[in-house]
Amino acid sequence: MNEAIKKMRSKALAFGVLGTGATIAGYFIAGQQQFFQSWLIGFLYVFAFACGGMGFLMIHHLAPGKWSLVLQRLHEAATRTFPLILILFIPVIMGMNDLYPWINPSAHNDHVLEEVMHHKGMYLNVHDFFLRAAIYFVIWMAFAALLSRWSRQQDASRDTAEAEKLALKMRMLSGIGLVIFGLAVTFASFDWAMSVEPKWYSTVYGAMLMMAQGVATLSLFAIIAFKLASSDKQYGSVIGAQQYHDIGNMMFAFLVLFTYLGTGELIILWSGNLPEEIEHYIIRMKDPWTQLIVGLTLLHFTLPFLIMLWKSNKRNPRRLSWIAAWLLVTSLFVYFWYLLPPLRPEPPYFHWMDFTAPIGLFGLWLFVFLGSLSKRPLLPQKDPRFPAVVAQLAGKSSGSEAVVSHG
Amino acid sequence: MSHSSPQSNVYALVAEYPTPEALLTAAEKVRDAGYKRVDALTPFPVHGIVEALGLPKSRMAALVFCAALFGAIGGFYLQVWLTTQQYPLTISGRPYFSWPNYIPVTFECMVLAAGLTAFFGMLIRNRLPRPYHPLFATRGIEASTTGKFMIVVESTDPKFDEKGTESFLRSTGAESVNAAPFDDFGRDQAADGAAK
Repeated sequence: MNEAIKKMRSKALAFGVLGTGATIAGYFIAGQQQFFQSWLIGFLYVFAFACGGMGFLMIHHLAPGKWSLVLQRLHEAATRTFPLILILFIPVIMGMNDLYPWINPSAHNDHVLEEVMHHKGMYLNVHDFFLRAAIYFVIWMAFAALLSRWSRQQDASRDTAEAEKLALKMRMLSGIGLVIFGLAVTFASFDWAMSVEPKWYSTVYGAMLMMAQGVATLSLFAIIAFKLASSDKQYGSVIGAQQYHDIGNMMFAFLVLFTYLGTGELIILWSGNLPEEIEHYIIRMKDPWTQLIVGLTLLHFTLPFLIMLWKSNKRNPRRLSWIAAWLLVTSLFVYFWYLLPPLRPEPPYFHWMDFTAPIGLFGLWLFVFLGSLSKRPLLPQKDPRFPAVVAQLAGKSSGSEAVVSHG
Repeated sequence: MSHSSPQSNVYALVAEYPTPEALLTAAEKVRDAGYKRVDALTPFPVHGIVEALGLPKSRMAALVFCAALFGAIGGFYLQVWLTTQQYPLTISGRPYFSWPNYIPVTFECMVLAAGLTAFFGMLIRNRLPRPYHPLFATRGIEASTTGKFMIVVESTDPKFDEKGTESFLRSTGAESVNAAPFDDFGRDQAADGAAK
């Protein structure tokens, strides 16, 4: 196993055990409601990487770009973590009654909720919730298994004709797959995240969450790619300033799109000012949620946006890693904004378990992810596009654009 | 200008390359040889040519950024002033200062200011429109818009020496090297120099 992966893996395990341990201890200290709320935050934070990996993998197969070849194996390893996501989903199911008010509408002393659930009950009911969750996981796991399997067959292919045939197969599946995958994530986000405020609805919710997942995934992979480049000679030889620049541009684009959708939602809901929609903002117009959204706007958008406007910050892998690490941290607060205000209407507060749960689950996920990553070669060398990437970097090695040195 | 030298007959030397890769390798050699007043002519944008030629970084980005900032602040302030000071109207009970509704116009003002600055700034800094340029008189120059990749070394470069530079350019893999004569104005000057 690669030295860098080994090191990261043991660190991830330590964080995972400590964070998850503290969260489970919190179950007995702070009570089960607190535990399930924090667990849901942690679950959604980690779920983002598996989804992001699958989305980018399909885009990578569908749009034959050369820039994402260095990330293909990271994406694939991320999609193979869906079984772990399923395990982490179990506590969410166990805590359903504490998390989702629609399960027992009459228990909340809210006749509007009862009236709304009278109509929404066709979709939001426990039976269908389980059925849909099962469908989502079958879809994700099936796509992950197929794409990883064909990719392994491509590694073992003997000639280019065979490799190209497999590439075409992956491309075809990704075409249809991207649509199905997108719908699955959208409805999963409705079921698991948006339904904590069942009276409210937003059609852009799923897309918004996907953009947030894209930012987090690319940030994580930018860091891991940099670590791999400095420890694995071959990996380092195919990733240069241009690749980091491309990854940085994608991070930038997803961050801007996420902000764009969130702002669009604000303008539309605020202008309409309809009772069933505006409640989303009314419950957030108090401390500390107002501070949270101001902080998110400045630190999760404005600051990274301005920093990433500079080309040199994206081409230098060390600086890009710092930006990525920053975005990974601020990404967590996005889930705070969407989930905590409806979960904790009165009194509003942050809890230490809101931090230990995501750290712990992220550690566990990273441990499994890195283990899966190290089982395959780090680069898809038999990919028909691969020689072009090598040639591109080799041709430039004499200029100032040379492969950046890693230290 | 340089009356002493007959080299002023030539505005520049133009070297022709068959592929973008050949152009990039040659450009790096030209840069490493110390030529400063250089340019490249290509039928489509070639990635990395600016760095390969060692051209100074464009200041347009900074200019456009300032314009964007100006446009955003100006657009936002315009709306604040209109809706709270100049002509306050109550619209479905909302406060006068309804900042979420200012966002689209603010954004558009930013894009407008940045776009116009980029467009006109580009024209001004490139001294365009320009009906005539000495390079147009070079033999085969039209090919730079269809299938050839060219490097231009101007005669005002301190390292320029017509014979030496020509053989140097050939050594970088140029298919041919052509001289761009001065336009009539420049030629007259050169003739003046020769007469004295």
